Amino acid sequence: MSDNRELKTRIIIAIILLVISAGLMTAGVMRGEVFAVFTKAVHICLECIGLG
Amino acid sequence: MKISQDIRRRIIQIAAFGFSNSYIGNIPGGRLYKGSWKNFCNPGINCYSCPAARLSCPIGAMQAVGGSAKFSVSFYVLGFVLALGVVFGRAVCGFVCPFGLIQELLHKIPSPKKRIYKPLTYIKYVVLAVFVILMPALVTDKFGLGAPAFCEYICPAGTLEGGIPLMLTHPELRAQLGALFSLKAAILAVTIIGCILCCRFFCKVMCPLGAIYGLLNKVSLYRVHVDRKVCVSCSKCRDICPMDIDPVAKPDSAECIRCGRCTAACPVKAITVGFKGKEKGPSEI
Repeated sequence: MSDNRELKTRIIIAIILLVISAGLMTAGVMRGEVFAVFTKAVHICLECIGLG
Repeated sequence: MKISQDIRRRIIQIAAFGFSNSYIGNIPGGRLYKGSWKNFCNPGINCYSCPAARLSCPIGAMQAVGGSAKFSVSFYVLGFVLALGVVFGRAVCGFVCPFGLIQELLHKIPSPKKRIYKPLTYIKYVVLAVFVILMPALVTDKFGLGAPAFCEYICPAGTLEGGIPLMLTHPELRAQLGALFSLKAAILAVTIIGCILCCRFFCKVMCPLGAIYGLLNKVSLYRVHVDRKVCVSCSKCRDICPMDIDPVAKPDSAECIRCGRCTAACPVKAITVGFKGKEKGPSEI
């Protein structure tokens, strides 16, 4: 495959994956995942520090 | 004055580390930052239980959401990591991962330097599948909550950035120390020794985030380009590569962190790194 064609294929795949990622993030925000992340992040994570 | 690719990368790494861990004043008191930045994930590994941390750890967040009673998978974190990986691939590891910078600094400690035994690099995919995806979703308690297994049993970044500062400042936490902390401390010790001997040992062997970004190296827009008509097969790029790969044979290798050392080493400027097919080499920047 020529370099230009390879680059075009790569860009198309990347655009498709970026659209999917935008959809995933939107879905995650809409169903309240950000709150779950925030809640975990602002408290000491006992698992992370080795206390389980 | 021209700035070499290596120095430019180091400046970006330090800036990213500083931004990710800007609440350094919290360390003496062992308090966590609780502001709105914690809604967002860090592009690289950085424990959110580190008192200095500004952002959430993407791997921790992925497990926290996946292990919650309400959700079994985190679309939010998955979408974030996917977007970054598609655009930058493992350049995220090479440029903005705070734990990546720590590992590179550890590797500067004088010692015999080793290359990684290639089959060990597949361990990180097992870690990703088992400890980050399957265990938090499938191994649950009576309330339907799954444990963040990677954070709990493996993550040396959590032990170093979160565990040690919090243990030093919280006697009530120190009183709870047990076998689990000993296991994690042992993994941290192995990681530190591994990083001194072998550049980015954790990235190569254990990092589940690196595994995701590595898989996306195959399609990432920021990439390594090799002009095979110009290449003289001198192998200087392979010899200098900190990730132990051959950029000419595998420019999209899942191990490549896009650090650009190969571009600087190439005597005929056959290797370039960038968003387009043929970006400027370091001599032209």
